[in-house]
Amino acid sequence: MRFLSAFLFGNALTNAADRFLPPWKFVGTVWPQPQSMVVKEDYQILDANIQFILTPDSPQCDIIPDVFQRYQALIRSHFKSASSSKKLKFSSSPAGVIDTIEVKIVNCENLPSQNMNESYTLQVGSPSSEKVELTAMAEWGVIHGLETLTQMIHDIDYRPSINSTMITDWPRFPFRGFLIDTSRHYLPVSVIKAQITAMSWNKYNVLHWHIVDLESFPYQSQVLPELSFLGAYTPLHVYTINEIKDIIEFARLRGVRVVPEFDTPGHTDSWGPGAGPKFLTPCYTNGKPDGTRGPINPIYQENYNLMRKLFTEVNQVFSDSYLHLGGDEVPFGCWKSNPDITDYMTKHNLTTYAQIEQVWVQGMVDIAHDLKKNYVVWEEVFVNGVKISNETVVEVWKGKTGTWKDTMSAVTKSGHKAILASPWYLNYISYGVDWEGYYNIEPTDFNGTNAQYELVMGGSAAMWGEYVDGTNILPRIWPRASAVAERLWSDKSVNSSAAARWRLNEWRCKMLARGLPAEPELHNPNIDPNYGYCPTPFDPFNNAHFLF
Amino acid sequence: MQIFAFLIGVTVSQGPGYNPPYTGSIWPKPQFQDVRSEVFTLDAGNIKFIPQIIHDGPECDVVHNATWRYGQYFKDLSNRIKPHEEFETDPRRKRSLNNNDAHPTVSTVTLIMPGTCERIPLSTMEEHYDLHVDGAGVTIYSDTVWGILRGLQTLFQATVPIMTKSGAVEKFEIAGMAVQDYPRFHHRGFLMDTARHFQPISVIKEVIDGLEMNKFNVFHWHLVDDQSFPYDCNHFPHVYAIETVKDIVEYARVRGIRVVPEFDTPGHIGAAAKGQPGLATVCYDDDGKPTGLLGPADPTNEKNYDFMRTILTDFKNVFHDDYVHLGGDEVGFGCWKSNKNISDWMYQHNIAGDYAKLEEYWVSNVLNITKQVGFNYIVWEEVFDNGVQIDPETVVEVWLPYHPLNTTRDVTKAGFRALISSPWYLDYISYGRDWVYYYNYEPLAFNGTKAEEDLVIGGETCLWAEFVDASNYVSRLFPRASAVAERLWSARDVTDIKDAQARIHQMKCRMNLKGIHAEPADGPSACPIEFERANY
Repeated sequence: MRFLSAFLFGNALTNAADRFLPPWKFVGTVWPQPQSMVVKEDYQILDANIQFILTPDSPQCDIIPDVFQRYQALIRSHFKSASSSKKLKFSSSPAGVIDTIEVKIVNCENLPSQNMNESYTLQVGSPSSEKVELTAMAEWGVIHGLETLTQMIHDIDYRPSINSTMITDWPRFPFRGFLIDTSRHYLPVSVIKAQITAMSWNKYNVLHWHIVDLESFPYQSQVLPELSFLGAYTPLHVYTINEIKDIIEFARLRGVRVVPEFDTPGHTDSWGPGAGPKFLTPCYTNGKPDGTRGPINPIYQENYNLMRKLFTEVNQVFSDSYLHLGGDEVPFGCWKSNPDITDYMTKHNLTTYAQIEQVWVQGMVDIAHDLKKNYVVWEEVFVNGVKISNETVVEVWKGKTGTWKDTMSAVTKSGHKAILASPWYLNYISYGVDWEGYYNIEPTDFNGTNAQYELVMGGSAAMWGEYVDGTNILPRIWPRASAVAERLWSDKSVNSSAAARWRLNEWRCKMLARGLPAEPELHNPNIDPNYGYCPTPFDPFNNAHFLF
Repeated sequence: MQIFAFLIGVTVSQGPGYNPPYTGSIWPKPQFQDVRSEVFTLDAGNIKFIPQIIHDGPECDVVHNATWRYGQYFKDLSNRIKPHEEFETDPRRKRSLNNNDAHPTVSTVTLIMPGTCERIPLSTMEEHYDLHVDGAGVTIYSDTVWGILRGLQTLFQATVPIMTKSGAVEKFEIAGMAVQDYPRFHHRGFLMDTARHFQPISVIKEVIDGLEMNKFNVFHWHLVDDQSFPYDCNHFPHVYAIETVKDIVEYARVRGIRVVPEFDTPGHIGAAAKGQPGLATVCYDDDGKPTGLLGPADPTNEKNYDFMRTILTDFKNVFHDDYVHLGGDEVGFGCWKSNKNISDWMYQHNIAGDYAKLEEYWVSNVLNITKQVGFNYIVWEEVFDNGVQIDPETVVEVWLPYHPLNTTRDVTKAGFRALISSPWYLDYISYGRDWVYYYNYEPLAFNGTKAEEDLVIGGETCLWAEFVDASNYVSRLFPRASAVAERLWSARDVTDIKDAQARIHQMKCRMNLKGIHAEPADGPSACPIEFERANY
């Protein structure tokens, strides 16, 4: 469908790209921009006791009561600021009072998945001026539709109102991921939940949970408890299986998948103490073990057995059909130094270290197959020439200055699905405004055929954990991650950061009002004379309950 | 995936980034600290503070407030730390984090203060203190209430919570020690900019809590700038009422922190100008038409000096400090040059074409008014750089990033006192461990004479607020500002980065426990109790 751009108060916005536009013209706009949105000038006011009902022909999807409760609370919060004691002079009159949101669902999917249907249509003002009609193919579209609807609320004459609007919306990419890293710093469960909530508001649908790495092993396995007992920062810095299941359920209620990553064979130092003496490769200097350890030792069957035991449990804990197998930055130096590995390679006619890496990766892929999991790997597995099956999804993370395009081209040319992460490492901070750089990336901007572009599953932004913990992770992610969210959800033609900036400013203000500490980095007030403040400055004591 | 930033070959049983957070290390590092081998149990929930103040009276309220506060802090600390919910049923976690040997208990903290009490921290404040911990208890000795405050903070930091197997705090321990401590520099400031983004009171107080923990003693409040005039004025929606400002000043006072307000003129007055017609110079284009833009203050309008007198008198009533900051940075001459009234006036006053002289006219008038009102003053370095004639007692704040050591040398050579802020602009962020750069800057490395070095009264770290508000303010500030705190308090030879790394991490965890959003500035690590926003 052709993208129809329409804003509120059409006349005032004829010069939408004008950087001096005052921000209040953008109340009621939506982030990420829907695929098709037609806004009219007439409006309805909202009834404070607005009801949510399911049409009789809709199936009862189990997440819906929770979804309705959340959005009812968010919509009602708009009435707190409206003053009833003020003697109001109305400059215009509403076309009606909306007291009902009528939701129609075609089919329940129950679990968010790679094939989840997130589309919805939303009608405000017509055919009825008393009720909003929201139609979704599955429950996920209900979440997105209610989110869109809530963002459209703005005060007219101090009364929460919505302009008559027609929206048809669906995501451009099915995989819109965000990576958190709980190894470099442990993140409290409440912080992870707040992150999931914010992701859902921004229509992200995948939490890529980089749960362990070389620094610490916080996944508390019941079948291999020594891994976290000896590999976590302290025995307190762990996620129990119950906590993880709680997080996954929290995410499901918000239409977000949780894809865990257990990165091997590199990045595994923290596994060593709990996994036993044969797990990590002993490195040699001058023909003798020097006491240091390298990647997982791929020549011992015990190590594959351990992984099978672990992944069998992981498969039961994480309901998503995808597993991230890692595979990045495997240093070959230690393997090269180790005589046992050299012997093994000679015996098995392996001539390159990529081949021995392949032995390990093949082992992991076999386990994933047996568990009926799909899997994602980091680009090195592909680039090193490790033979992988066609259904392997390759995540491209290198070359943020532009060489990612070559990698995306090569990956898709060989028939693999690709996820782009390179340009969206939000942990790399710099002074000033940087969201425009993230926004201006086009994931299909590489040499390829249409068939290749079809293989781009989506993208993933990342906040690696070296310098973030519960004190600062949320403001460092938001609203910069919102820029990526729009790139992955909205139509390809929605690509002007100049046109997006005040709408994004408005969205940040809304997130602040909902209790999310989204930082102010959208404009430089020294350059923007009309720099907009938010009507409600962030107060950490305000509305935080919307986050959890 | 992530580039290997912290590749460590050997794994230890607790993650390689883990630093044991409570060894009782002190930040900033004391001038002299002799830690003995005895260890005492401190009965933290029931500490008895015994103030021995020779000249006690109502003016000694800072000490009495402090004993109450610190009693609370110790209690809060033990209450904050709660066992993990599943902990008790999970045998895997039942591992003691510390050994649990029995030690003799001390429960008294004697505060000996022979001097007279000062109610208000001023530029003359002294902060020397001695701290002793032995079998007889804890003793803090100081000539001033401010030294008592600093000693109490050291005591707080030296106290190590001992956790039970269930993760709760069972008791507190403290090593026997003798500390003799005093600041290297007199003026250890932090500049808070509430003009570019409004900062709520809760954030300002959290900042001041952090300043106290880091032994900063000056809160430089940049209230007004081009973007807003939040100081009790009707033109902007988010303003601080006078009562609120007084509340902040009081909050800082009892923590031994001076509040030095800044009213930046003649540039950066955009917001104030909106409420005060005639204050700012009207700018003209080449055709002699007003451009609609306003420039610096108009020095030729005599009414503007009345306005300055009103504001400064107001400041004097609200802020008790003996100093005010008069700004004076980044004065562009272009608008003055475009304005015919101003050129005419300059012609009449025989300074035609000499805009530095015009600036000097403004500055010297404002300085006179300031003196009459009863303030000493600090100015940004341009006032000095531009050759404006200023009184010898003016404090010059060095902030431009170009060769700050040379500027320090020039300022002190000319006989002025200098404050250093150039290397410590925390708003300029970059990826990684930037606190090390702040830590490594040595303000006296300018090859000056002893007399010139003595003129460097200290420094200020600044967090300009273009890109910070309540969502990210405190985490951007701490512990990066802690690096500056140690540079300004501790001895010049305290430069060991490895030692500082371990201690600044512990300081971060300690600030977190106190409810301060100090971020993990030094790479992968863990605190025994992680900071949660849900803790609010």
